[in-house]
Amino acid sequence: MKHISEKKLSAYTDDELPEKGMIEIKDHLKLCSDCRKKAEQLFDVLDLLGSIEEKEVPPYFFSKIKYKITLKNQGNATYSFFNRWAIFRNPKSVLIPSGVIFIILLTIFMGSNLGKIFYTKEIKQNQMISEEFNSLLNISSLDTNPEGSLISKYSILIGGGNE
Amino acid sequence: MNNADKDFELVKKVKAGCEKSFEDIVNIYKHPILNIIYRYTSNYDDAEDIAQEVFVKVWKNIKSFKGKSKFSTWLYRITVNHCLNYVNKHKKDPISFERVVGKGRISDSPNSEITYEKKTKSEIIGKALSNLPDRQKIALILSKFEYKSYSEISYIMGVSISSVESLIFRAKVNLKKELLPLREKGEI
Repeated sequence: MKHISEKKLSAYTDDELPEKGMIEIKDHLKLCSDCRKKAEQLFDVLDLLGSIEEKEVPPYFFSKIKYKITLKNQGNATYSFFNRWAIFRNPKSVLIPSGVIFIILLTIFMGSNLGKIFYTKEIKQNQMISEEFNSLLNISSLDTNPEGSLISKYSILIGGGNE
Repeated sequence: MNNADKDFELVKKVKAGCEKSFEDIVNIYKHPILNIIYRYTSNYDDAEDIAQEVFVKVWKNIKSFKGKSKFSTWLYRITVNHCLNYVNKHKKDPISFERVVGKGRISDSPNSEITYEKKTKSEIIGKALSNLPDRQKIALILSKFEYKSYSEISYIMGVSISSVESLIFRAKVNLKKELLPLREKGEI
């Protein structure tokens, strides 16, 4: 006698086979003690599961649901208020490009200011050097023989000067 | 008017914003939904919290229910998704997960005899059920406790009917291995 698969017996215990299949298995179980034992074990498991106690619903169950709905609605209202601006919807999409632009502008600004500072400093230094040089050579005057200069002293020595 | 028609009428009113009809739906389904989740999680507080979340989701998404299936099937589908998400969340937290599903199969425990003496029959069987793999457990709960057909379970879980058949069969085999020896010993 061909035995019935345990999977099929499981479907049989759940009354999930077509009517013809249910009758065939029922007839088979009358004759086959092995299959009958397996089917009984599956029924036993289902019976044992029936011993799990049912839990009662706690009081104020619906009130708690209403409270949760209210909280979620408030949360959604806040969300939709902030959701108008991209920075709140997706901060990265705004902050990263803004950061890059800021760094570029900062670099340009710093570069221009540093350039100005160094340029001014250099001009001042050049001016100071030229003033120092002029005073040393005493060439601030445009006279051919400025008074007190070497050339005027030399002229006086060799030719009696300008007088 | 049968239950499905009654649900349909209530859903229509809830879609129009009727809070009283929503309360009626909650009152009809709160008991089965809470017990499905409790049997799944083995934790009453978590079950209450998840059941509330399920109904909040129903209220928020009722307009997306087009009536292609029974309302109860749609509701059970939401419940199953919440159960599976609950386990996924708790898998990230090993302590919570152990609290939910136990540290292993009951028969693996070294002091199993002492443990069994302390526990009631319901707790032992409940724990054996909660130790089943997630999908086996949910399929068996829907079949055994909610009297759902394999076809309905396949729609609720989004799997084929033959998958449901296999899941329930494997769940029964696992429980048989675990529970029947205990029954023979007279421990349950």
